[in-house]
Amino acid sequence: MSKKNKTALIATPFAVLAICAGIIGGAAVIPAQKLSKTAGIIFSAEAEADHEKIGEIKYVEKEVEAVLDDGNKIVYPSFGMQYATLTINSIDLEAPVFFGSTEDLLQQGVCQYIGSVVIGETGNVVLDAHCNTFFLNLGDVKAGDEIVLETSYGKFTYKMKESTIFKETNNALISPTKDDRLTLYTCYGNLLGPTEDRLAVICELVEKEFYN
Amino acid sequence: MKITEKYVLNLILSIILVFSLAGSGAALFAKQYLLDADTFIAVSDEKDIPQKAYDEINEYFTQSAAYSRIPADVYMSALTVDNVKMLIDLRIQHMFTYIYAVGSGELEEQDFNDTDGIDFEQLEQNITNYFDEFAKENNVEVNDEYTAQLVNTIDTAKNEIMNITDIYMISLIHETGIIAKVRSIYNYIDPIIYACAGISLVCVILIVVLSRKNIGSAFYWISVSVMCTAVLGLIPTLYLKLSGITDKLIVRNECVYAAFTGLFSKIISTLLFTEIIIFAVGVILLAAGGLISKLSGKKA
Repeated sequence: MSKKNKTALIATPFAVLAICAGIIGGAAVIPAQKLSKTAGIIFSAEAEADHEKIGEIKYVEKEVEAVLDDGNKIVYPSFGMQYATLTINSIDLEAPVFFGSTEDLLQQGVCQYIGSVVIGETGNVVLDAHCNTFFLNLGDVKAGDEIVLETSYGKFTYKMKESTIFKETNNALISPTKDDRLTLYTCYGNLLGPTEDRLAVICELVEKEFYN
Repeated sequence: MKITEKYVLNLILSIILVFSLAGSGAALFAKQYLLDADTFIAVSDEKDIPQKAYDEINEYFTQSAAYSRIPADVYMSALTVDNVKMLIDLRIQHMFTYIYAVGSGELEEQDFNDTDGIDFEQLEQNITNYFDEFAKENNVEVNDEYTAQLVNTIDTAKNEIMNITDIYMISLIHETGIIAKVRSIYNYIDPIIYACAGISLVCVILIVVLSRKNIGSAFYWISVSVMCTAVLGLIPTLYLKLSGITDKLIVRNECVYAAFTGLFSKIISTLLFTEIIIFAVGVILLAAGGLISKLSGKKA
């Protein structure tokens, strides 16, 4: 076999491969661009390979100090951090308050809705807990009862003003307010099973005592 | 015919053969493997997903007891891992029944129902009994509100179980219209297979006719096509396998993650194996062509 024939024999498969790859590559440019956008959403280079920890919540311990307009200092908690204690003597309740509300945290104490203001700031502090654990007797809190939130930077005393039942889809009571208040809420229902109703206990701030 | 002209013709036929082989192979793979309920069910079993789903259902009802005041046991005593597996498998089978029915016209698009035949009788009975006992013990009046709450509790429980056992997100995929699209394409798979197979046959015949004086040469050209078809498939498959991109799926649900990554992994492994076999066939054809040429004393 001549050298030319040998070269042709060896080069032909690569030539066929290159031509076919070129045709496929050219035809696939636009679909590949669309697919890469979708792939970028569905797959992530940063996604953890270890999916045994898929349900694990990672709490980052980081405190940030801030100075309010009135010169008092507060400490912004990180998600999942216990940063206060809630005391309601009228129903014998003393419970830890965590920043953030997850099932994991609700099993450990009272949780703060992170869309609400940090304790000590002006506005609505919103706390929730399960109706069969920490807020079992929330419905027994009466107007005038004292509720205390104690943090590392201050002690804040509220008085119960009113309670109301609302639907879980109604965000009015957990929205920001201009006045200083504390809203405690939990599931509400006389019957078994999942309920759309929530019991809210609204309290007005009567005393702020900053430690700094 | 001059040698150069013959070479160019063979080259063109070889390129067409690559695409027709790839087309028929891909369509056949899609029909026999990808669009087969058994593939999806096998992945579910291999990844022990029924057990994972059962555990997830148990965890849900355990956590929901905090606000529903219904112990998890009320629900879980009506379920076993086998029940959960049946739920998972039934939904997959329903999806493919719907897709396959496009040819017979038995099921219209609006007839998609992946929950047909699923029985929750024991679950309903357990919840109803618990409600009745609660009502007796607590002197709760059995009125419209009571009945509505009972129905709501049963529906919520069923929906949650159905959501958790929907490991391939069939409901969501159906809502996005993907299943309907697959259904519309399914009718064309057989014609594609036949058409591509026909083109492949024509190309092979023409290559043989062009190389009728030297059959070894025909083997050579066909083997080039077969090997190139295999390599064109091997490159992207190897990339997907080695990059591990399928493990980086952004899905936080354990069952769904296991199902999809297991499916991708199985498909990639099967494709890889198939393409290596096809490449080996190409090598055998090449060797056979060389042997025939040598024996007949002709140049390829």
